[in-house]
Amino acid sequence: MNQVDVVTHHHADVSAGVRAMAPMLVAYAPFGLLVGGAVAASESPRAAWLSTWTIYGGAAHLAVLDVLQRDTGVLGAALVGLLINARMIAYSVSLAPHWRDASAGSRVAAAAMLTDATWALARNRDTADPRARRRFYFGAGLTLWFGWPLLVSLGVLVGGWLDGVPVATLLPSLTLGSLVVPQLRSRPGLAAGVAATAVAVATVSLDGGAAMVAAAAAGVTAAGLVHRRTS
Amino acid sequence: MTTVVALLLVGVGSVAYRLLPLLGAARVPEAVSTAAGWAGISVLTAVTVRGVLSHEDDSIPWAVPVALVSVGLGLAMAVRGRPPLVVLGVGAACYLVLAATAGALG
Repeated sequence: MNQVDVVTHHHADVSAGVRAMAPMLVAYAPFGLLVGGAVAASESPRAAWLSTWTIYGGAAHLAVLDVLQRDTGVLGAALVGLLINARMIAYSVSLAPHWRDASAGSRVAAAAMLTDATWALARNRDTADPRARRRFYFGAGLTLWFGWPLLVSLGVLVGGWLDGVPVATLLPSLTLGSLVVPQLRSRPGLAAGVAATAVAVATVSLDGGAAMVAAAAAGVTAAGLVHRRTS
Repeated sequence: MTTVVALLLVGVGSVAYRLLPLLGAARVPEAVSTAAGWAGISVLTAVTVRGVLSHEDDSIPWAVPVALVSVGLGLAMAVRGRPPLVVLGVGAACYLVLAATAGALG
């Protein structure tokens, strides 16, 4: 393969990532605007806006701002946000094998871009070459890393005009669902999905963070049992 | 001040969640990484299900069943290998049609 072919291949992986993430941005738009509305209404809009890059998860961001509005204090709000974002540990740990031989700088950049959609797209990417997978990840990750704060910023400006459009709140579920479906094709994956669904139904009235932890525990247990039985 | 401190704590914690496992990638055993993948699938599934079950729409009766059917039909497209935009389009269109019907009946 000559140098031109190598560069073309690199570009193809990155643009595949961009193309995969672009529809996600459309789907995330209502959610981003919703988060932006909460940022604008918060006690400290500038700090809330800057947190878009560090929290980098709409659900946790929204929950922290919501809890703070109800005067529950620093620790209560922080705990809620940290519990909801605890899923990032699972995402990061599961991606680790693909990043073992990457530079420390690349791993830091990958960590900064890690969230639900980037993780799921990277897992669904069918390629044996870890470098190609990482280029795809960066294409997808950078698209969201620039796109998500843009949506939140737009939400800060236009506020809560989406409040009267109930279908908009269903779009994140459809998006995340479409990402998780390909991962349910393996038996352990399906077992994890079924167990998590049961826990989600049973815990729908509970706090989101605790429910996520319970769903993860049930899913891992069910998938582990199926994996042991089938291997 | 309370807001800034809380956001800072969650921000720093979230960055650590993402960063530490990737920085120590060489030391993460394969089995742990596989289990973490299952945990990720479980959480995404639970987020999807909770999003549907806690759906609110004051303008129609049976908002949750309408959301359930719509998301179910959308995800049926995903099962058939359709891209996310098709999933979104089918799910959203189905919701609008069912909501209009439910509104007319209710």
